[in-house]
Amino acid sequence: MDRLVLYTILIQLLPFAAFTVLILTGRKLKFGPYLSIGAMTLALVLSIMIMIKFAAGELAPIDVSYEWFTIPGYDPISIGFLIDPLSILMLVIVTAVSLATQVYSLGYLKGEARLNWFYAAMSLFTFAMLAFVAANNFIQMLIAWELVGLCSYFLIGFWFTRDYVPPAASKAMVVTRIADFPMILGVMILFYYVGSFAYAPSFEIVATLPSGTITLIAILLFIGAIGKSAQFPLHTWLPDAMAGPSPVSALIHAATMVAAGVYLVARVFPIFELSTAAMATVAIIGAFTAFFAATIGMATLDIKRIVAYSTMSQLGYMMAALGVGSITASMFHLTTHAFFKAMLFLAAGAVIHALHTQNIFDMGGVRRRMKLSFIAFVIGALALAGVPPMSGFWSKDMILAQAWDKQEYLVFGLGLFTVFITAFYIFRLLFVTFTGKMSEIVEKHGHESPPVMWGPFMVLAAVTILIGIAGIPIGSWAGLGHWMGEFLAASGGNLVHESNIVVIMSVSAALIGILLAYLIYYAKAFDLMKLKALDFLRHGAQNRWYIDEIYDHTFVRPTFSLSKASLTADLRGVDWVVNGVARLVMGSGIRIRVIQTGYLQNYATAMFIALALMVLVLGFAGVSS
Amino acid sequence: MSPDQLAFFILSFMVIASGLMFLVSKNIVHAVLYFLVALLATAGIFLQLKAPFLAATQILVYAGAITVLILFVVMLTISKEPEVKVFGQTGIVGPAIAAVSFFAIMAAVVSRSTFTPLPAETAGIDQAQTVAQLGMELYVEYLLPFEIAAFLLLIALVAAVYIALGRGHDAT
Amino acid sequence: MPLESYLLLGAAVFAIGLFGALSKKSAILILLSVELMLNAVNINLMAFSNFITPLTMKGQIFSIFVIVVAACEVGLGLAIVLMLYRRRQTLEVDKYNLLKG
Repeated sequence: MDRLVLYTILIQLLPFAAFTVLILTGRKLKFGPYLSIGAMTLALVLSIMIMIKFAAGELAPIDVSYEWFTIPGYDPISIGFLIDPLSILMLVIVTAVSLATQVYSLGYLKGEARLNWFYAAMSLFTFAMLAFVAANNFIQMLIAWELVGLCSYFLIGFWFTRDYVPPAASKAMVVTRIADFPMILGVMILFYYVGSFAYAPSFEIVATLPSGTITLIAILLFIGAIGKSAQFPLHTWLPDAMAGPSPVSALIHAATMVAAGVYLVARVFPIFELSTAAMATVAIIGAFTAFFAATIGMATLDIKRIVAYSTMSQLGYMMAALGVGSITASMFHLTTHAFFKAMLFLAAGAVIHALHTQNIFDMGGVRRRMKLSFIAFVIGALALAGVPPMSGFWSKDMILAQAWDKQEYLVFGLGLFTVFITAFYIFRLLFVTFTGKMSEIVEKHGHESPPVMWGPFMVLAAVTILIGIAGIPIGSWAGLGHWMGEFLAASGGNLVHESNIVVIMSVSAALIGILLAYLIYYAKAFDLMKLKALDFLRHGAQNRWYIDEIYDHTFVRPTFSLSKASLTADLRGVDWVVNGVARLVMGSGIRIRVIQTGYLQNYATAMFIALALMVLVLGFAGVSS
Repeated sequence: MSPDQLAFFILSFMVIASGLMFLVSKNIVHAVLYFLVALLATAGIFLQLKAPFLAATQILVYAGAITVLILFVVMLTISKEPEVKVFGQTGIVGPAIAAVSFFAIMAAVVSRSTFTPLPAETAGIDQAQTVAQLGMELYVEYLLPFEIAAFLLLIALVAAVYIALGRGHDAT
Repeated sequence: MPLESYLLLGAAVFAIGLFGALSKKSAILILLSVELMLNAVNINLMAFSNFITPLTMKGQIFSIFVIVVAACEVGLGLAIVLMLYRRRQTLEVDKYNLLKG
C-alpha cells in the first residue's frame, strides 16, 4: 500500500483506537486522557509531515478506493480516501485544534468523574471529522457527517444532569437532522444520475446534466451545510450548544464541526460552479448570516454566546467566499478562524472557570487577575476584527477582495458593514470584561488558570501571530494568502486579485468599530441605553430576532400536538383493540366455564346426547358403514 | 301364541318392569331387590336362548355374589340424612333424552338390518349345545383369554382388599 | 322369537340402565345401573350367539368373560365406594363436585 495512504489511514485510526480503548476500559483507566492526547499528537505530527511534503511538491494528490460491497448494476460502494491539499489542510487543522483542546481539558475538567468518557467522545469526534475530510465518496462522507453530529450531541450533553443541557443537545441534533434530510436527497438524486457515490465520477457526469437538476442537487447539498455550519435559517442550535464545556465549544463549534459545511461546499465545488443560482444562494445566505449573527452578537450578555455568534458570522463569511467563487479565500479564512476562534473560546473558558459566571456585565477588570487570558483575548479580538497584520485581516480581506473583484457588491457591502459590527462587538466584550473596575465576583474568584489551561491557548495565540506575520508580503514572499492559493491549486484553489481600495475600506470599518466600542464601553462617553431610537434594534437583537420563538410556534408546538394526538390514538385505539382481544378471551372463558359443573353425571349425559346427535347426523348424511 | 313367545313376553316384561321399578324406588334396598329380579329374569332369557350354563352362571355370580356384595356395602354405608330425592342434580330430562334417543337409534338400526346365520353354523341349529361342548370351546379355542380372566380376578381381589384397607396398613 | 325381539329387549334394558347411571343420586345405585347395562349387553351377545353362531357358541363365551369382568369391576368399584364413604360420610354424588370450574 502506498505510504501516503497508510499514513492517512493511521491518522484516522489513532483517535479511533484511543476511543475504543477508553470505551472498553471505563472509568478505571487512570491515564485515559493521556492515551487520547498521545494518539492525537502522533496524528498531528503525521499530518504536518504530509503537509510539508505536499508543499514541497514531493507528493501528488491521490484518490484510492477499496471495494466494500457491490450492488449489481452500479459501481461498487467502497471505502476510499481523497488526499489532496484541501484535505491535508483540514487534517492539520483538525488534529492541531483537537490536541490543543484536549490538553486544555486536563485542567478545565479536572476532577470530573466521567473524564474518560469525555476523552473517548473527543477522540471519536476527531476520528469522524478526519474520516469526513479524507473521504472520497458520498457514502463515507455521509456516515462520517452523521457520526460527527452524534459526537457533537454527546459532547454538548456531557453535563446532562443540568436541566438546560439535554434540550440543547437534542436541539443541535434535531436541527442538523432537518438539514441532513435534503442533503441525503441531494446525494440520492446525484447517485441516480451517476450510478456511483464516488466524487470523481460524480463531478464528471454532473456536468452533463440539465442546469435545473444541477442547481437542485447543489442546493440540496448546501442545505446540509447550512445546518452543520449554523447558517441562517438553521442556525438556532449553535448558541444553545454553548451548554457544553468550553473545550467542546472550542473544538467543535469553532474550528471543526461547523467548518464541515464549508469544507463540504469546497469539496463538491465542481458541482456548485456549474450553477450560478446555487452560487448566488450560497453567497447570499453566507453574507446575510454574517451580518445577522453579528447584530445579535452586539446585544448578547453571555461571553460564550457572543463568541458563538461570532463563529456563526465568520462562517457566513466563509460561505460567502465560496459563493463568490474562491475556495482559497474561504479555506484561508477557515484556517485562521480555526486558530483564533478556538483560542478565544479557550480563553473565555478560562475566565468562566475562574469566575463561575458567563455574564460579561458581572465581570470587569479581569485583566488585572488573568493577564494571560487578557493577552490572548486581545490577540483574538484584533484577529477577528481584521486589523492588520493579524491573521484574520489577511483572510477576511481576501474574501472582500474576491467579492469586489467579481463585482458582487451586495456581498461586499454586507461583508464590509459586518466588519464594522464585528469589531464593535468583540471589543465591547473585551472592554466590558477585562477593563474597568473590578466587579465583586472578580475580586473574590479571579485567578489565573493553571498552565495546562493557558498553555494551549497561548500556543494558539502564537500560531495566530505567526500566521499574521506570514501574511505580510515581503520581498519574494507574496504572503501567506498567495501561498495558500498556490497550495490549494490542485484542489481548485484560485489566486485572488488583491485590491488596495478594499484594504482601506475594511481596515477603516474595523477601526471605526473599535473606536465606537472604546467610546461606549471604556471611556463611557455615552450610554447606549439612553438612546430610545435604538430600543427596537436592541430588543430585536437581544431576543435573537425572535427566530427561536417563530420556530417554536410554527414547528415545535404543532409537532408536540401531533405526538400527543398519536399517543392518544395509540392508547385508546390500538391498545383498546389489543387489550380487547384479551378481554374477549377472558370474558368468553368466564362464560364458558359454567359448563364445568363438576358433576360427572352431567358430563356423561352430555356425551351420550352428543353421541346420539352424531349418529343422527351421520345417518342422515348417508355415511355408509 | 306359542309357548316360546309367551315365555319371552313374560320374561321380558319382568326384566323391564323390574328395571323401571329399580329406577323409581325411594329405598336403596328395594332398588337392589328389584335389580335382583331383573337379573333372574335375564337368566330365564338365557335359558330361552339355549344357554343353560350361562343361565346358571348368571344366577350364581350376578344374582348371588354381586347382589349380596352390594347389599353388604349398602349396609355399611347408611347415610345419616333421610333420602327423599330419588334423582340427583342432573335431573330427569337430560338422561331421559339420552336413553330414549339411544333406544330409538338402536331400534332403527335393528329394523333396517338383516341378520343371517353363518353357513358353517347351521348344522344342529335347534339343539342346545351341551356344557361339555362349551367347555371344549372355552379350554381349547379361548384358553388364553380364560387364563387372563383368571388373572384378572386375582388382581381385582388383591386390589379391592388393598383399597378397602386404606393406606398405612401393611400390605402383606 | 325372531332375533330382533331379543335385540330390542337388550336395547331397552340398556336404555333403562343408562338412564339410571346418568340420573341417580347414590353412587351404589349408579354402579348397579352400570351392571344393568352390562346385562343388556349379555342379552344381545347371547341372542347373536344363538342365531348366528349356534355351533361354536362364540357369544356365550364372550358373555362368560363379560360376567367375569363385571364381577371384578363391581368388587373394585365397591371398594372405592367404601373409601369415598369413609372420606366424606356421604355417597351422594351431588356432593362430589371438586372438578367444578
